[in-house]
Amino acid sequence: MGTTTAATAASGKREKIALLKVLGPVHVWALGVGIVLVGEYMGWNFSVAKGGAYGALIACWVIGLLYTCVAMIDSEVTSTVAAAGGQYTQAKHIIGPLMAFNVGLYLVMAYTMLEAADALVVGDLLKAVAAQYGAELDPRPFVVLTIALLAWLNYRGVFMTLTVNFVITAFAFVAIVVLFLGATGIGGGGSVLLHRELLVDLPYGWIGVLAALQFGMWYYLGIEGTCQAAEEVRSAGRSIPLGTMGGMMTLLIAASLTWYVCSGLIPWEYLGQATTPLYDAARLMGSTELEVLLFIGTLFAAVASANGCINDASRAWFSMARDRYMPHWFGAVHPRYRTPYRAILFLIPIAVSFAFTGLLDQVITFSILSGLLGYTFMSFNIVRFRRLWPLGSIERGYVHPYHPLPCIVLGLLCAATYFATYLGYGTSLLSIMAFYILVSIWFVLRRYRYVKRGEQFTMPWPRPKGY
Amino acid sequence: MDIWTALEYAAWALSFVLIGWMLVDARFVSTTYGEDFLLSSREGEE
Repeated sequence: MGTTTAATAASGKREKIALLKVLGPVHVWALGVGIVLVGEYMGWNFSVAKGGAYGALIACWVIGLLYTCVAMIDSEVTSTVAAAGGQYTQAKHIIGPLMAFNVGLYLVMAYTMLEAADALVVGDLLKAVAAQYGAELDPRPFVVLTIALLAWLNYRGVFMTLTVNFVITAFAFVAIVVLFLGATGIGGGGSVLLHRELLVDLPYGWIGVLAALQFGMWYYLGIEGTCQAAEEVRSAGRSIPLGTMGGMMTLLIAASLTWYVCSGLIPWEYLGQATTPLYDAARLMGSTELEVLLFIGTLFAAVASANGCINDASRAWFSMARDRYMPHWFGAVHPRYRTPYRAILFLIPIAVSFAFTGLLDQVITFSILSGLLGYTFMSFNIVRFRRLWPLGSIERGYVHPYHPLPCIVLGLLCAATYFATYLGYGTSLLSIMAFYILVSIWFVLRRYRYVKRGEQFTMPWPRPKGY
Repeated sequence: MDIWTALEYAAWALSFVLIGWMLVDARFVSTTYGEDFLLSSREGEE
């Protein structure tokens, strides 16, 4: 016990600490787009292998609709439930403890695994640079350094963390726009795109388009992470909707430009297997400046994604611990930096362990499926939210239009994406379902007894309708 | 030792320094402040 406790005892009043409210809409944008933009630089193109170039474009826009629904629903609920934990906290208030536990775990697993995958990408990029100079580089120390450096940044404060994310994410986005301008000839010179020659009919028909939906998620996976900043923004009612919807618009533009440039430069048979399609497109244009720009863009996108993932995974873990869904010890706030420092520290070895498995495909599939389970939850969460707290009964920063159409569309598109995932990764889908069922049993039988039921609801909300 | 090997060692070293710094700081915070204070954050409270 130090001076703080002594002073508190002397005044007879219990001193409290909280996360720092310093963020604005720009930081929310940087968090959401930062996590996602790496999906434009790599990963989305596997949808081309499933459905051809046109199939990938259909997947891009159909899954874009899914995420637009996610962004609208999230903006409404989070502008009201302004607490760290995002969808976990929403589930706790609106559905119940078991759903909250599962959603919290989806978030921690999805973001930690994505962080590991991003760090692996950074290691592989540096290894590729060394290979160009004829050297063999061990990527592992750079994977660990990426995770350690970003965790340190997160540990020291959320404002600097997300300001850095804004700068590197904006750079990565501008790099895509510059590539588009160069390829189309708008920025000077003629167009080098060969859409007329390269675009072909759907190679595997409509079933291929359906299968492409799973990889279409790469364009947008993680935009829902903006919710995790809710407790640290100066005005949740303004910043969360502005940052999330602005981020979604940015991603729709980036995804469409990416598809347009890559499908006009690379035949679909090669594009579907490329590791870094945007960088490959820049190389095909024969411009050293563009090649360097897109290489840095790829590196920055991976780093920004890992940075945002550390932020989000730690907030989800912290929130669960604060409510004793996980050991309460992890629910501590740093007295100087005002960050969930124990949660950040705890997740470092977890992320490194995932990264060292080297199983990039499985790690990402697990991450995507955890995300998909979260979106499915959102579709019925919003119905119950509107029923328990109808419009006018509670202050909302944003009200999404055409309810219940977005949640019906979201539910249907999630069902289609589950089917698409089952076609390609049936075993993984069943394994992850089994995993979450087992941990749910553990939570009910062993963990829930530690949860102090009254203490987890401290939000000054009106009583729900019907209670 | 070539430059790439030196970079690998430097990356390992910097990683250990950063993680070590966080561990030492976390230990310092735990010994300086009471657990009740560190765990006093509640959702919806300033």
